[in-house]
Amino acid sequence: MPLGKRRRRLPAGVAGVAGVAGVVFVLTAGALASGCSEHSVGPARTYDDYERKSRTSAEVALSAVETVRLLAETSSDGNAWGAYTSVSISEQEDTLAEVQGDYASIQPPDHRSDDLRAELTDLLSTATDHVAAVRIAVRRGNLDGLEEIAQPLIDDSDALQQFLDSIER
Amino acid sequence: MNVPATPAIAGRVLHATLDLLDRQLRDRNGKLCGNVDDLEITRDESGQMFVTAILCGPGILAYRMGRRRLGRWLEEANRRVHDTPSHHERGERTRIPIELAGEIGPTIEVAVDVDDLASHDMERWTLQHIIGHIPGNSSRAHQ
Amino acid sequence: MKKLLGVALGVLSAIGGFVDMGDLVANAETGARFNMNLAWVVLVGVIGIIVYAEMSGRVAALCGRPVFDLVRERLGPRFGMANLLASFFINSLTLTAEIAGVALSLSLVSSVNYLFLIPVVAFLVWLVCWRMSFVMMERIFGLLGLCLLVFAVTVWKIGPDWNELFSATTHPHVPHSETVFTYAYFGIALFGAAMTPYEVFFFSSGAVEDGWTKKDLGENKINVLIGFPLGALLSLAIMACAHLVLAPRNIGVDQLSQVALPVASVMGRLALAIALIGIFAATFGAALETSLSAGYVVAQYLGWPWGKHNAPRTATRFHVVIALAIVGATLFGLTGVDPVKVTEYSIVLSAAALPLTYFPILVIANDPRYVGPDHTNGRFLNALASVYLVILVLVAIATIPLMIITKGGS
Repeated sequence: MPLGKRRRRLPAGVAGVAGVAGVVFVLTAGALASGCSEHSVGPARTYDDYERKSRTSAEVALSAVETVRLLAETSSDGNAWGAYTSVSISEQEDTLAEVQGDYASIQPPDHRSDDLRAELTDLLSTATDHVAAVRIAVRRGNLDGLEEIAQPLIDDSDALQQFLDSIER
Repeated sequence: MNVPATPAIAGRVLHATLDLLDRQLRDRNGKLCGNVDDLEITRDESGQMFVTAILCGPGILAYRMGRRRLGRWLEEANRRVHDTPSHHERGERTRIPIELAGEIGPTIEVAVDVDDLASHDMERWTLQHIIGHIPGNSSRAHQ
Repeated sequence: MKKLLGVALGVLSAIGGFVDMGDLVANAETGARFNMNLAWVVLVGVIGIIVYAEMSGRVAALCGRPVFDLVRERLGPRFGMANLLASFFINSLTLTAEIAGVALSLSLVSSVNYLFLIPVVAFLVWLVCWRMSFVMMERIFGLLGLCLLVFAVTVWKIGPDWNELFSATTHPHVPHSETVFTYAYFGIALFGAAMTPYEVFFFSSGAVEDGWTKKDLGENKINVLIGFPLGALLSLAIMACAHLVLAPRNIGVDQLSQVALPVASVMGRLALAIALIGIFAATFGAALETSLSAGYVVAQYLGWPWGKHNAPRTATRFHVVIALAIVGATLFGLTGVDPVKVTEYSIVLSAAALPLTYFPILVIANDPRYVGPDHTNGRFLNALASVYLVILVLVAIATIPLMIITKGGS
């Protein structure tokens, strides 16, 4: 290496900033990783807020219901095996239960919200029952008849979709 | 790169040798044995400064980055676990006289054995107490 | 002839090894939610990883040391430490996600709860890191990863309106049901998944482990120029399957099992089995890579002996770090944290830390002291790489605010 040729270093300032940024970053990341979740049950202070949370909950529920329908259909067509169908349906059932629980625990801010709450809670409850029926059937080994058992989910899906349309801005 | 002892070109040499910092060290057998954590700089009678040794070992980098307490802790922790005979002076195993430093390729080769360096103590300790007990540690992986 | 075979294997492994848990989740989620309107992000991301992987491979081949190893001496120990901490943290999140992904794919064939499988998987990952040769590891999991081609076959089988697919890719828009913020957030997530830092650490250290020299530069280019784009096609196939099968049904992806559902629904059991083999290989391979990366970054920063190439006893602390990283990730996974959520966080945080990883690569690949005077970046490459660096900085700055605004993408 020729004498006197210095290697360009980052000036101490930049390196220091990078260091601080790194620490901030790690702390933020840690906080976020332990804290927030999609189904976060923060309080709803206004009707708009509550409506938004209702929409999110309904969307998640709709996704779960539709997934179970598709799984039932796939299984009845012979396109999936027991373990896959069973585990997948259980996952969706758990998701639905979590949404139900989270939604129920949000305090409705006013009387207008009560109507929303009543309607969606009802829908969620019905959907949960119907999904449970499918789960019971699949765990009993009834893979071919799942589509039939999942029939009620079509209505649940439509109802949830209608609910979402009704609160669409 | 050999550092001449004459102070006359010490100024330029100091510039160049600061580029030694943080570089990878290899021992005389080519084994990786730490980085240049710090440099020992001596001032002679005429006030000229030149590099006299490479410093490498537990805690030294921490010292250099201003984390004195961490550096001291690391140094102490290492002293407690290594099994080198106590007649070695403190600091002797972290100091590589600059005359022993050659430079071949992207790493700096130093004319010492990796076992002479404090930076390797934890490696040996880990070998004795952990890795050595796990089967399959001494052969290369299946091809 | 043998050389040709080696190159072919390298390319195939690159294709199959391109996809990991982050890509699986990100591509399926965005396909289900945004249809193909974020496909362009995958294309932008793959060009970025090609540019930077080629540079890190070149550096490793020409100076025998991986890029991360050089960060401390070239950019100072403080920057190196910031880089190390951020990389190690994200790497650990990623490792948790990958191990969980392997466990989930196994649970889908065995009915055993994935939590019970996590420790088993962790042990297997460690065992392979301990005993299997580097080359064998790359080949096996890379080639098995090619099973993911079944997603592409599924898209073909569906017979979509190709014009519609291409128009969404080339003329993206924000769907009515989404906001600009969620669109940007998922775009960033997808970008982070395409350019995850551990990929370059592993690629670069892997080049040194494989003993690459100047004569392997050509192979480096081929691997990168052919392997990665084809790997990106796998990602897009996963996105397209979600778009064509899940989106019309209002299904959002929040489980790994849903990623493979389109394949089952359209193509049947055998295809589903192949898809799960592909998912298993992709996540297991990625678990190996992230475990090794944990060892690489720590050992290289501190100057310890490192490498899988020689017997474990020659790099004891390196292997201890790997084992500890695996144990840590396992424990975190066993807390029951949602694997898909962990995956999302790992890719988003990767996006936030991209400049830290990639900036040093650009600096070092331009330094003749490392790559020699003949192999520094050309002007075009530098221009392209610099543009990407600007993109990475913008992405990094936008990440945390978007995460807060969209509440993690909901």
